[in-house]
Amino acid sequence: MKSISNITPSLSLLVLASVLGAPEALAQDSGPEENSPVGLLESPAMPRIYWGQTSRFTNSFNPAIGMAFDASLINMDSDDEDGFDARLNLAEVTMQGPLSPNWWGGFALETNSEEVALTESALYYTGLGDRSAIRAGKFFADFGKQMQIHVHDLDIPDRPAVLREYLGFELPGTGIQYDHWSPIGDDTAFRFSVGLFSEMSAHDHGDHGGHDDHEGHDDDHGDEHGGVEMHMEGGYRDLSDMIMTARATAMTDVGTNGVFQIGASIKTVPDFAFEGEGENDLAEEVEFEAEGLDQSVTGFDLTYEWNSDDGMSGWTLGGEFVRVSGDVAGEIVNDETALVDLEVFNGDVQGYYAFAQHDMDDTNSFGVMISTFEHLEEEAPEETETSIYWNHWPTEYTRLRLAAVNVDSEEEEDSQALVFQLNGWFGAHGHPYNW
Amino acid sequence: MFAIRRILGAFAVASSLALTSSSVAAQESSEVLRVVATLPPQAGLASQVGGDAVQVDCIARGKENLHAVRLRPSHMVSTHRADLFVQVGLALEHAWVPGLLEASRNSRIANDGPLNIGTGWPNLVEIPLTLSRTEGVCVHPLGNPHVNLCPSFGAFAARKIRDRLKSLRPELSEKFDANCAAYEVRIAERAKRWKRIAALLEGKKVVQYHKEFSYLCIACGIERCGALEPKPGVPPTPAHLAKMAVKMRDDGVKVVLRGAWTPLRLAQDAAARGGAKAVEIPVMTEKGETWLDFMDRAHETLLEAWDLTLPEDGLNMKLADD
Ligand SMILES: [Zn+2]
Repeated sequence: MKSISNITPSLSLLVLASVLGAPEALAQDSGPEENSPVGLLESPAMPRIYWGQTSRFTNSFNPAIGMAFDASLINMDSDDEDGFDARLNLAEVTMQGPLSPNWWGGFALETNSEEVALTESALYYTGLGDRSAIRAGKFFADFGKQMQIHVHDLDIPDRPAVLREYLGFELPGTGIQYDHWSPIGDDTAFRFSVGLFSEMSAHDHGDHGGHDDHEGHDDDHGDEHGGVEMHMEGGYRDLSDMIMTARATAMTDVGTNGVFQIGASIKTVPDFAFEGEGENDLAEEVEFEAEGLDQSVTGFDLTYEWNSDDGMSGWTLGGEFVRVSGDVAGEIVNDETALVDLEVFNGDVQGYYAFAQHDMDDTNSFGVMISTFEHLEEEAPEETETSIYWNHWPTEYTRLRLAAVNVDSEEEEDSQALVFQLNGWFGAHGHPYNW
Repeated sequence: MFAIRRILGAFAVASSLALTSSSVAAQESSEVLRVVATLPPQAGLASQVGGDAVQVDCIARGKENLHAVRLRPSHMVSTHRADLFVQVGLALEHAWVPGLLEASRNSRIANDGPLNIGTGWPNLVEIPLTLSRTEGVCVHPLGNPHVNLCPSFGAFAARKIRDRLKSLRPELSEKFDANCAAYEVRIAERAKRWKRIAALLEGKKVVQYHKEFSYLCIACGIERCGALEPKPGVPPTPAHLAKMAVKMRDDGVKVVLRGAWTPLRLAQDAAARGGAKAVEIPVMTEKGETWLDFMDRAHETLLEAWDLTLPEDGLNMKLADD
């Protein structure tokens, strides 16, 4: 549908910023007051999930409150797990508002009914000049095209499998980010961002029926693979040891109905440890740790979108190639011949996702997505997740989704899942402009 | 870390290049006023009033749902460089303009504000009587914002544009006054013909898909008998369509008006159930068309909807005055 990742509907937190934080002049006018019983309804513009406003109520009070709901009914068919499951993937509360014309802030609190997590809490400063912004606090790091917003806001049924494996379900980091955009010619916008983070979690709220190796929240700011976790020491560190993300992207008009975007992203983790528990030779539980490791993730993405003259139907084609280099995996090795130890595997693993989506009209879209990647393990076994999905929007703020997911794994049993998903959005809701 | 430095270096070079190009653009803008209009009708009016003192870019293409126009990178660029941003307001473009203004980061527009043509619109209709969350979405919270299809929109908007252009370029005031006055004369000439068409349409009944033709109907004396959308912005539901089918038959409605963006099959089926036919009416000026041509086309389409023709002498009024 009017994909959240496209330029129009991804209005989002920035829309909200304009409604709430921008000078009054930016707000839509109220019309003739004498004719309007609406009185103070001065600025009904709100961020949209799909398009349009999330509510016809003014958002000029401060702060704006929004809620989101995401639940699934899953029929899983694999050798380990079989049958039906009903899940609350997420309930989310967000609050956003201006502090002054150049400052605004917001937070997002998420729960999957087991745990509550603060996934975003950040201040944004736009007083540096016309096209620059700084954000500080905890926010989603800028990596690729399908990683910047919450899973439930994506048009595709789940975070692409390759991103889940290499970056996690979401990528909230604590730190600071600078971004700037510039026009190039008349039809192209170029933007880059650089962020420095002291920590970055692979926060997770359960997947939507696909391969299930991330279960529940992982609040240790680590990404778990086979009982071994990626871990960054808390406390002070050299600037060069901070996690860094950077993204550069350009988007341009293709004729009057198309938009093409190209982007490159990098995330570097210069100093981390793998930690894990295992049994030593005396059958005691012992913690193992390997320190001083480094890893980088790079991505290269392309997106093309075309829509019909009336804007109601169209196509979106997108894909991203992602590669992880450096210390990619740790494993507790316990073979008969050697001492038990945590071994670190240095090398490269890579994968990609690609999707095609057709918007049939303003309330229906269907698509297919494929993601193939090498696991973050020594043998780098390959896995391919294929989903076909249909989105239906009965209203702007409710979405029904039917998805069929097939996982073809070199290492584990193959599995199939049928997912029926229901999403609802209430009040103000949004995310930064999706570059 | 070496790779990172290289990437940062590349960013710096790319952004300084881009900065240079945009500052060149800023210098150019001191000569010709750069105007960005949300919709083609006001883009055309701005060209008429501004003449060669303005360069007008328009965002909507002409067939979209006015509430849901898709933005492209060029819109962000043109809005960033604009000296004046013209929208209807009245919450018509509220789903896409605030985000555009925020993302494009144009400090001139942020300080002066966009020109909202709808502000002070004298005959606002269909203002919601109650506001309740239990009633859900309504994309016309301030009343019907589709004023560009009202015959009096042209002169009303042209004057607003003239006044803002005069404040931006006081030295060209006389020119803007003259352009606006000349244009109003032409509008008045065309409006004679619209009035004659309206006389033929008086008392006809319509149902609209989305209430975007209300001002045109009012001007033509056409009675509005409801909409296929239960509320502006809410897609038709089976229950509401069943109710409307009964209402259309009871009221003797023969025509359902729809914009190009609405689902054709749905409108046709709903119209057929009520014993009526679906007719597409233009919602905006299309490429190469002036607002006057567009209003001619809208009126003529209404005539065709009831198989009416204007007596011969009326055609002489529509001389090539564009
Ligand atoms: Zn409308």
